[in-house]
Amino acid sequence: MSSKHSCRDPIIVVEDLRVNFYTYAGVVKAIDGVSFCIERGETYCLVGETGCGKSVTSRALTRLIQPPGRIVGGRIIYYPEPGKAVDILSLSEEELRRIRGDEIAYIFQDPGAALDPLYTVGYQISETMLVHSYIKKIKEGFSRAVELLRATLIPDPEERVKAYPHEMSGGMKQRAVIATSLANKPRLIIADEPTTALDATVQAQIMELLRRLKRERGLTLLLITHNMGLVAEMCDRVGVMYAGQLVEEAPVDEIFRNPLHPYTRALLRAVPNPLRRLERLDAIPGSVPNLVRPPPGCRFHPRCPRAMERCRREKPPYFTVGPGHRVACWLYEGA
Amino acid sequence: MPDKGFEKALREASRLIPGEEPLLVVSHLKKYFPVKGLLRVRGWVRAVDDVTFLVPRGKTLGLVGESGSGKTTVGKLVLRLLEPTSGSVFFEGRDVFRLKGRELKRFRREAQMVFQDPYGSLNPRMTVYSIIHEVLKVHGIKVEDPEKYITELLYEVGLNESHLYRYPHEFSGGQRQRIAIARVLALQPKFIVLDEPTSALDVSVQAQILNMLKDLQAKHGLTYLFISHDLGVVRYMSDYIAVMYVGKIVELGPAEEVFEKPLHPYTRMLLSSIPIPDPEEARRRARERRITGEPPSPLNPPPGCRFAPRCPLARPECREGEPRLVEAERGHWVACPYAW
Repeated sequence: MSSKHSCRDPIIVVEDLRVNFYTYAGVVKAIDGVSFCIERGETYCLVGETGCGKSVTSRALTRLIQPPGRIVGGRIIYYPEPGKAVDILSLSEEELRRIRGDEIAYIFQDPGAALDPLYTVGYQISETMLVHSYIKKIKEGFSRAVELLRATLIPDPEERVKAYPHEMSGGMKQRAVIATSLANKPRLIIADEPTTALDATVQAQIMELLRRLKRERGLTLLLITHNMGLVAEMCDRVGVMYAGQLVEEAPVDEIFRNPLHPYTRALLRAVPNPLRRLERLDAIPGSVPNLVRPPPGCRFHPRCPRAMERCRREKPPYFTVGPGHRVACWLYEGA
Repeated sequence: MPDKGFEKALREASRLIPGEEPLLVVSHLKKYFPVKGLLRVRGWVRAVDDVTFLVPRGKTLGLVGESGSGKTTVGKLVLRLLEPTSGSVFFEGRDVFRLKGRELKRFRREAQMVFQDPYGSLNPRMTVYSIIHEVLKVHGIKVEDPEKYITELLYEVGLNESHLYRYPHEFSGGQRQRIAIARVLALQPKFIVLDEPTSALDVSVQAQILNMLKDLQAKHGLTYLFISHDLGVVRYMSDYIAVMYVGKIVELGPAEEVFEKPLHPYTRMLLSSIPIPDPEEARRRARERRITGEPPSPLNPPPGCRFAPRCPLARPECREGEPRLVEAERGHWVACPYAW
């Protein structure tokens, strides 16, 4: 299987992904030709604002798109081991279920919604293992659940395994969700805004936990976030999304030191940094476009301070501007 | 004529924030919520527990803290949307909780609130025009040409006459927050409580709204109580900062002082937990960061200093008396005797 990605040892390769949502208002082109790859063992971030398509992209990786959404084009290749390619879009539902939640696990924003209020945490962790046939009876799972809760630094795991979700704080619940996602020894963890609902000090603890688990277990992490601070702290490489497209991709130090796409630049300047005194924030004028009738050409051009005539007509391709740094903007043609 | 108790409250609060003319003075404010059992009250959530500060006229006091710190309850109390358990709030010298009749109505007009959720605070069945016109009617404000008046307000918040007869669902989140702000401005208030006004918005839109709020403040001489969990936003907006932890103010001072020289161990922990948009610095901070424990429940706060169970500086004495705010440096107050 030949692909034109740039990863040496990818765990996942996405090529020209397209996802539409068929709504009463019209067809929403939520993902419009997104391509990237994630290197085995790295932390890759997809960053962007509401509606940019970062969550939809992450869900598409295991075909977790519900109607009225549908994947309408592109390829997603998963490599459980180097050289062993699995075409996600052509798998049967059953084969896919074996991978989803087992080899590729998700952590979502709201830990309250991810846990069933009627079952203990230990039961829910065991159930995950039962579904993927790691154990034969729920009971067997409890001792392993205790180990997982301990690994996620939940105090008193022997007691906590018997706790119901409502008996735990938000941070503890998210740890329990992380424990659940680890139950089947995944290779890739997709964390979609895992700390957005949590307080700052708790967020810092959860991020520390994710870093540690990744190190100890050799995981690959895909982090979906809108928080530029978390990107800086957690990631190796970053993909910036805007209105359903990946507009810039670079190693993390490069994206902060040398942001090139006008959207990336504007986004970085709009974040108030608590360590700096600021007289004026640079706001981006306007708001995110409607994706039923997205702007022609570059989707950012109506808000772009440097838009040219060409931007209104032609969608910019990727221009490679440095090692691992590509940007979809006409300003860098021939750069 | 100021109300009874004002002089004393002012004296105390002015020690905390000296050299400013106060619009709002908050004195020993407490709010305990009962936790009801089957037949009787099982206990009290001490949401706000003896809080004193002032908000200078024309300036912004930022109230920061995590969920359960009591910051929103303070915001509701100072507007008299809640009755306190004890303590008082003075607005231009008048005791807010004793206001009656016409004076209360005037207070209700002059002191306003902008909420976090621009989706929940606008009636979906009303046009922008009627949403704003309604508050004028409620407050009995007569304007000669309401359409012109409301159009001018829309221009102030970056909208225009083409938006007059549209419904909330036709607007983006940022635009809805603009409408909510226009509605507040319609009453020509002196004081606005901004409770996480940009938390539901994207950063690019957040920057627009924050800049607009600053411009409106400068233009109309507005006084803000700015409540937020986002330290970057609070620093950008505030002249003074009060940091709350489980119902108490643990640190108070000029914004630059508190951010450049945080003294209370909780403020330091909170600041260190913020991921910074600078990779090298962010990674270094992540390596050095030490965060222990979780905020306690305000239902059963730990005895003594409420932060003691998580505090790297804690000593046995910390579990005994509740520490008072002490002036560590001029105008910079800290509720911890071991912090500097």
